Parts: sequence; C-alpha cells; structure tokens
Amino acid sequence: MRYLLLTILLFLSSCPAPPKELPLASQLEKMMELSTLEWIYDELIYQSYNKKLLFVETRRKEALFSIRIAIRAGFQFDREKFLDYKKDTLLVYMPPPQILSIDAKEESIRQYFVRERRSALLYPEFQDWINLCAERVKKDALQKGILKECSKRGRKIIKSYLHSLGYQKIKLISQGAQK
Amino acid sequence: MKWLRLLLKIDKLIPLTAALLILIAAFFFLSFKNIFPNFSLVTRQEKGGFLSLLAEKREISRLTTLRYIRRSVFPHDFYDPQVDWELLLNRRKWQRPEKEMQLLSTKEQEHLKLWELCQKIGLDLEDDSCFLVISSEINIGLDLTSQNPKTKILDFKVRDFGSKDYPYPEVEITPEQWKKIIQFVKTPLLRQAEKAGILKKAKKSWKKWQNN
Repeated sequence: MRYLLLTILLFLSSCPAPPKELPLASQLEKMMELSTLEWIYDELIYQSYNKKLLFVETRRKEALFSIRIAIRAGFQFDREKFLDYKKDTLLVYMPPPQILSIDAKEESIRQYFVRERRSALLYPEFQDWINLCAERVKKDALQKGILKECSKRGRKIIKSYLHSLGYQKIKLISQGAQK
Repeated sequence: MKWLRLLLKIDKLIPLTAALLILIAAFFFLSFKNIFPNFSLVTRQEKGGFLSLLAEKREISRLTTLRYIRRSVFPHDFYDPQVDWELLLNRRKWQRPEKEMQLLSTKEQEHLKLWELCQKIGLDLEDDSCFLVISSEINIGLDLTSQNPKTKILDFKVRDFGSKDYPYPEVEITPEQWKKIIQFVKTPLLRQAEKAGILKKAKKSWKKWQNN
C-alpha cells in the first residue's frame, strides 16, 4: 500500500502543472506592430430574406442597421531583425506597410429595424454581412492609398521617436515590396 | 353478388384512374413550366445592400508589443456556477437601501445585470446548451504620441466569426442584442486579462527587448 501511494505521488509530481496565470482558452502573442493610420468607415447594412409558397409569403426576415468599421494600417516588425548598428549609424529595417486590422465596432451598432416572420436573425449570420462590409472597406481604403500614407507617416514616427531616444544618425532601409 | 362484382370492377379501376390523373397533372405542369419557365411552388428571395462612407482619417502612433486573445462562452463564463438565481432575484426584490446588510454586492449586481440581459435576449441561463462563443483580443503596448510612453492597454476588440468558421449552434439574436452582449462582456474580460498579469508581462517583454 505504501509503495502504491509513493508511486502515485511520484507520478503526480512528474506531471507538468497546468499554467496558473492564463485561463485555458487564451493565448499570448508577442509582436512589434506599429500602427500609424486608422480610417473610420460608417456602414449602413440592409439585408432581407423571404420565402414564398405559391405566392403566399411563409417566412421573412429583414434588418437595417449601421456599424462603424475601423481599418488600421502600419508595420509588422520582426522583433529579432529590426535594428542594427553600423559605425555610428542606426539601421532600421522597415517592412512593407500593411493592413493590420479591420475592426467592426460592435458598440457603435444602431439598429433601425428588424422584422421577422416565422424566421429569425441568427448569430453568426449577420456577422457574414459585417465581414462582407469589412472586405469592401479594405478594398476602398487600398484604392484611396492608405498604404502610401501609412508608409510616409511610419518613417516620420520612427525617425522622431529614435531621435527622442538620443540617436542622431538613423538610416531607414525598406524591405520588400508593398502589399 | 352484383354488388360484389361491381366492387371488384371499381377496385381494378382505381389504380388506372390514379395513373391517368397523374399523367394529366404532369402534362399540365410541364406545359405550364414551358409557358412560365421561372415558375416554382417555393420561391426564395435574398436582397442586400451596403452604403459605405469614409467618415474620419486618424493619425495614430501605437506600438503593440503583446496581444492577448481569449475565447469565452457567453453567458456561462461570466457568472459564478454556484450562484442561486432564485435567491438573488428574491434578494433584489426585498432590497431596501436604508438597510445596508441587505444591499447587493458588486458581484451580485453584475450577476443580476447578466440575468436581465439574458432575459431580454432569450438565452436560458439554466440551459447549458444555450450559448455564444466570443473571441476577444486585447492589444497592449505604447502610445508614442505621449512624451513618456508607458505600457498600457491600447484597445479591446471582438474578432468576428463568419458562419463558415463558427462550428457551434446558431443563436437567435439581433444586431442590437449583440451590441449589448459586447458592452457587457468588455469589463469582465478586461478585468480577467489584468488578473492574468498581461500588463506586467508586456512591460517585462518590452524592457527585455529594449535592453537587447
């Protein structure tokens, strides 16, 4: 009996303990992401669906609501290969600017109406509409040159930040083509 | 005997008559289809439209150094499983502001808020199979516009699932109800993240990177 208990204790002590600080369904990502521009879009979304049986409407759902969508552009730096020092010059390896996130601001939702007849709006059904909007927003922002503006501003921010830290000679080296 | 013979004759005629009727119906239906090719007994129609407006352009200088992603189950992740809902509702009913002992704690008030929200939405708190999965993201880093930038929470957002990447049961809610859910979950999720020490982790990671 004593040996059995000892074996169980030994087995338990060898088992890796679950992480204490973070809840199970969570994740931490380390990164170096510089956001320089945020464009806000106001979207008005209308969707309707109906089903008829021999000209008689049997089901209907219809909704009109607005939501704000924020699109952020910036740079995703490689944490390891971001800075280098050569002679008396600080080298900054600038990755190409990119769209960092497209975020639908749920707290800005304004629902004008929802009509349901023997049918209901489903989660995540209306998320599909929001995702479609997000795609359109991305296309529009790219057409309006968000990445170009972002690139200019990014260089300015990095230079002034590094100057404030005391670096005098800074050289920004662009990496890759714009996406 | 005559009756029996007649019945036998009718019995033989029934399948023949039925086949004839089906043929006539099919003939009429097909000829109707030829005249109105788009005709169908059941019709489904979907309409939709978006109107987009670029409302604002903001210049920001944010350096994100850490991202905390969390998947939560609403409403079950947002209340104490030991809570006695009936007792709580009774306590609220009999609550008198002048009697301090009877006042509800902040936690109890939050539980009541959740109960009211679920009532409005039509989610049954006692039914475990009634749920929504929410994926949230908290970005931590530095706001470079300030003179002395310090590590802080930069933003909180909800990652939007599409119906293709949502393998859980669909729930009947409207956009307005979805907004209320997000408004409710924001505070507890931020609190949970702070409890998990994400700010400390971000500061530590930033210092380590600066020293390198």
